[in-house]
Amino acid sequence: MIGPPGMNIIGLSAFYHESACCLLQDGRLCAAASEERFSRVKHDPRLPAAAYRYCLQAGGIHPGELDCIAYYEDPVKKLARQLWSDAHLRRPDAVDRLDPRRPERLIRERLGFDGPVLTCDHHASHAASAYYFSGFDEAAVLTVDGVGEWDTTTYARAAGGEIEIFERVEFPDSLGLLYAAVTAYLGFRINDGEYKVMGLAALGRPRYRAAVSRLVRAESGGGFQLDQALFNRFRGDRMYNDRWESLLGFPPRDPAGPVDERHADLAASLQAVLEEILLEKVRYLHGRTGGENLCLAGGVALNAVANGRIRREGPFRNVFIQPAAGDAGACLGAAALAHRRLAGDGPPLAELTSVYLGSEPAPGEISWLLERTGVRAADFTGRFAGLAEQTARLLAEGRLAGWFQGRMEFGPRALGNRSILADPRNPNARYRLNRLVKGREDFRPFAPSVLEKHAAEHFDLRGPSRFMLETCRVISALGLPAITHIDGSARPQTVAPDENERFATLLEAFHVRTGCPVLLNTSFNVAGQPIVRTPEEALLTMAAAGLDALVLGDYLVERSGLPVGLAESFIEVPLTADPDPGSVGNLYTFV
Amino acid sequence: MDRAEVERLAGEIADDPEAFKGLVEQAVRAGSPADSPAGDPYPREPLPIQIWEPERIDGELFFTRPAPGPLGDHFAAVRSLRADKAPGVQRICLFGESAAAGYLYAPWLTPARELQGILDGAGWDRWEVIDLARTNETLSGMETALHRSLQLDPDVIAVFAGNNWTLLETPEISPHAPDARNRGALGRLLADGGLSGPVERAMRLRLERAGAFLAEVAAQGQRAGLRIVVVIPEVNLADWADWGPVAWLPGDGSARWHALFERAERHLQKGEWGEAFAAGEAMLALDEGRFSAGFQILAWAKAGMGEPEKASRAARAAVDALHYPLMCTLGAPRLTSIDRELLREGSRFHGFDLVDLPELFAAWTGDPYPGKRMFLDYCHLTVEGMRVAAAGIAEKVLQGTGRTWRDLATSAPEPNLAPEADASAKFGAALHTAHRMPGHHRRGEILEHWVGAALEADPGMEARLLDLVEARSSGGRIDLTPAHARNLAAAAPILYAHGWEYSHLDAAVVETILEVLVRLGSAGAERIAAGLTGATPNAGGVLELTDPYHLAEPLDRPFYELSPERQGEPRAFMRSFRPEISFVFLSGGRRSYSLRVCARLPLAADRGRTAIQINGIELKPMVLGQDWRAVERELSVSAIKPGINRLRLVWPPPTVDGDAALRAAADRLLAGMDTDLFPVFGELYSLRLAAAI
Repeated sequence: MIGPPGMNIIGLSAFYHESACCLLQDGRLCAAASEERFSRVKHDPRLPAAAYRYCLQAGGIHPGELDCIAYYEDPVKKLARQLWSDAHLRRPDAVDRLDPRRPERLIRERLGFDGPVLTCDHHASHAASAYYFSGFDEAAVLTVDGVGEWDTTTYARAAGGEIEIFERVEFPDSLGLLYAAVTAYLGFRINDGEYKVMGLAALGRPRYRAAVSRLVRAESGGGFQLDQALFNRFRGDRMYNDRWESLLGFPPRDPAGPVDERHADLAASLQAVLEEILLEKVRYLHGRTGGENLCLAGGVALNAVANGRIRREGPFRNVFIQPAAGDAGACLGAAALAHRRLAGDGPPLAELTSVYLGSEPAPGEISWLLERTGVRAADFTGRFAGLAEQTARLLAEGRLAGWFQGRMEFGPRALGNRSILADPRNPNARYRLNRLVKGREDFRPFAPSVLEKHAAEHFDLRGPSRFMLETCRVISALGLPAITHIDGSARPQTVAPDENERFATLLEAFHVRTGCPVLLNTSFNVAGQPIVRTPEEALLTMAAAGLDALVLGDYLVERSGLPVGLAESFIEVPLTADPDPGSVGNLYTFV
Repeated sequence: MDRAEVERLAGEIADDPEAFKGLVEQAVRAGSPADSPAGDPYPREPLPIQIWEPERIDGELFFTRPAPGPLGDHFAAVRSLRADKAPGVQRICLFGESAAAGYLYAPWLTPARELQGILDGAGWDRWEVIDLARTNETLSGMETALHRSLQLDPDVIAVFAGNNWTLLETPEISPHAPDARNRGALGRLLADGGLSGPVERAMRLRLERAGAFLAEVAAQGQRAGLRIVVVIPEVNLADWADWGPVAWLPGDGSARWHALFERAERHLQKGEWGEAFAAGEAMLALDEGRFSAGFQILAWAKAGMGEPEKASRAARAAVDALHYPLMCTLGAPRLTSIDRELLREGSRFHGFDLVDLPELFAAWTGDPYPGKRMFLDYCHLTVEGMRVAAAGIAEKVLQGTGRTWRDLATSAPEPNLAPEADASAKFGAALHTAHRMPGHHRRGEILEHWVGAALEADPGMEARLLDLVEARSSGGRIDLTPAHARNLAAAAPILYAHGWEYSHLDAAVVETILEVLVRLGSAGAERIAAGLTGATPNAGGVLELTDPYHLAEPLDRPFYELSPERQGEPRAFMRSFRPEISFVFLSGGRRSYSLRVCARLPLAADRGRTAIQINGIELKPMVLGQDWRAVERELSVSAIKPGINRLRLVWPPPTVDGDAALRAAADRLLAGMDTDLFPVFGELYSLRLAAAI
């Protein structure tokens, strides 16, 4: 059903990870965005004031026309856990962190909202963010993250718009915290470096599996336990303790130091143990609920490798993974639960097939930007096919291109509207991207986008993979070194014309020109920066990163079209790299 | 400290100069050199001196800094400092803040260079001046730098500092301090001592810290056998003014204060000095002298009456009444009387040589009311100002030679200053005036002075000002415009962002450039007018005027919502801490607009009328209340000008009792929450302007 006419609900997640906001308007998801894209502070956890303004603008309303703001966790329950764990009491900002009235107070004072503020349990928000947007009427729901209020994992059954959580695993037993602790031990930042650990895992052998299995022990049913003697949950500066060194036989990695085989092997061991436990718990959930549909959410559901195994080896025929499965996406669930409370029913159970929910340039904004910055660009207005062909030509020649179209994606992935693209057949593309644009570790893989109709020819996929949320084997005869991870896997996005017409047209043009319907697609940002939101940011990033071309809507900007001031910020890197002869596949320099 | 003690102290300090001095002495004696540990004063291994990193070149120790960016940085532009002195050379290391670093003239001219020029010119070229002054310097930064500078084996240390102390040395005493414990402590001070509580605490702490710094300087000097010269800064009294909104006053005092201020400004504009003076006195009666605006009104009125001594005293009182804990908008750093007294007493106590710039400037100009002759802005020095300051230091360095500061200043060689650099510095003064000084009856005249002076200094300046207008009217980030790229390529680029960092139209500066060029009969004026009229200031024909680009006055935004370290949780709407707020936008002047305002009056007991004016023409007022309300108005083409247009909102006075509001603020602070100490007149969610169809 469609909600009551004119009902406007804001969902909001904030104050821990990446904050975000969404607007549910008459039961329809109208807009969603993370604050980091506006504030330009990566993973910005602060109140999403700018994202809120954007959502209201997208809905054509002002704060006085909102019916409710739904907040994604219960601060009182959270406080109880914090007090119990004593984790924050000695920090200078303890008052701010512990005050359970603070979220509502800030919503009122900083967002200017005087109406009802509803709070939803954290894992209920996660569960709702997956179920209500899955398109399933009946489904089992699994949420797994670091920690909500008390819960770290929940098991639920959902039917007819109702979700019943029937089992929980509580803090401090947490798969998310386990992953975070190992991430920290490997010298990466918690809540940021987990992707790196996942990428690193493919390079290693799980020879520390036994040690990791001592850290976490699966129990029968839905439970598992961390060995608390091995964790420092009461200390804010790190989560592992000194016993890890004797357990693993090597010390914590210095964040500035090299990554070696031991680190890759630990990552592989962690990943193996996590996948085993998740698969076991998914089977347990299936045993409890039956049915063929599974919804997944929570930060751990962003582990694409585990997701791939759940889909391939798990008992559920259909799996919906929330595309913004982390805390940012929980705002969707909070809004949906608020809708249910206010309207007596959840939002319509339609599958979320598109996450192009963010802001877009105003009409004329791109041409205005080009004019005022003195950038020379080719105007393809009304000739999009020509623009796609021209871009495909550049990519086929080995160029790196920024691709900026329409509304920004919600969630961590660039899905063809805020992307950097390259030819996946070209191994040097990885080299250039890693060295020049991304400034990131060589072991991290890049993802492909593929025309949906050709996906099965190149990737071992069971169906559409719209949001790059699972890995699979690369089976392409083309050889796609730039997007194939060292273990032969990739994390593809399938693209259908009815879901992203422009991106599909480009892929088609590249296919016609090269016979390859696949492009390397990585997020449009440089290291340490959030993905670009505006055409201006895209232009600046093109300049800073040394991209060869940038497609801004209907315009094509080539490097030669940049004015001197911008062009000077480039660092020339040859198109053909001369990689370290000791490296493997141009990338894995430490192997 | 309980309430009675705070009140007693406040009363004593306000009434009794001896109590004032007692405080100073206490701070001075708190850390005497005898308390400092003895021992080797020199760093044992090469350590960086500020941004100069130690490196050995052919076995010799140097300290080398990274190259500055195209717009410079906060440190002297000397690439390398040699650790060892040449035989027979004596060294002076100069420390201090932006005034000592020659802000606006640096790197082309600085007090250190001027001092070197004077010493060389006087035949004392065996003296070498090392410039370690830096913009935004703090006491702790200076203390570290001073100790590290011993690696350069100085003979004289000159410390030229104090302007920054009120702004930078007690950040924890703020209702927006990041640490909740500090906010709680401030709440206790406020609850016990009213507005005086935080003011007194900040002053005491500042004196303690500055006193300890002087003691440390003395200790370093004793251990290393150095002579210490202290330079007491003077500040711009005649041609700078600084105030912020008044905090909550008892009853409806805040609203009455603002009404008096508006009245005083009207009288000042008409030259009605007596009436303005009376209004200023009435403001001071309301705020008990805790806010600077009333004193500033008195200063202007006395200057208008031809009484510079009294104007000077009132202007100093205005500087003294700018208290960091009670500030809402960004204040300009200027040395207060108590800090000046500390420097004087401290220098006497520790045996430092003292260069008293207030005395030197008054003697040099014959004017007790220093202004734009010696100052570019609130505290940064003109070429003449730098010369006198440097001559003062030179006199102390050359003690015993019979050279006086006056004859050294008189005979100082002309600095080798390129016209482009001179023009950039003077235009920098215009930018600082527009960005850091609140709007008032004299600001336009001061702005015109500096824009005119810049054009006079360098005929090529006009083209650079045209570039600035082009960059500003582009409607977006100025650093992406070709005009800004041309500026960066200039010999002496203009720092567009002086004091106001985000992209904005900079209406006051643009309008002044246009006026000056019109007055000079320059063809550039026509180009600017055409450019402003033909500019495409946005995409899609819709402007959101609450975007900072359109804000007419930079000081209409509280500093704690602008500064990254204090920003805390962001806000989704704009608040107005004054009875009015203005926005600017560009138009070709050939179309009507529809305006959609979404606003509320957070402190209104009932509905109130908010006036809207476009270019001074009244539109139908908005009736607003405590809830957000959207109101639409048409701006007819007859009210729209080609070029810059001004939209002004005038809020009704708040109807909340000031005592209750201040108590509530104290309660919030005591609970660890941040708070405002000021009435919020109106809140704006949106101000959307669209071309009428």
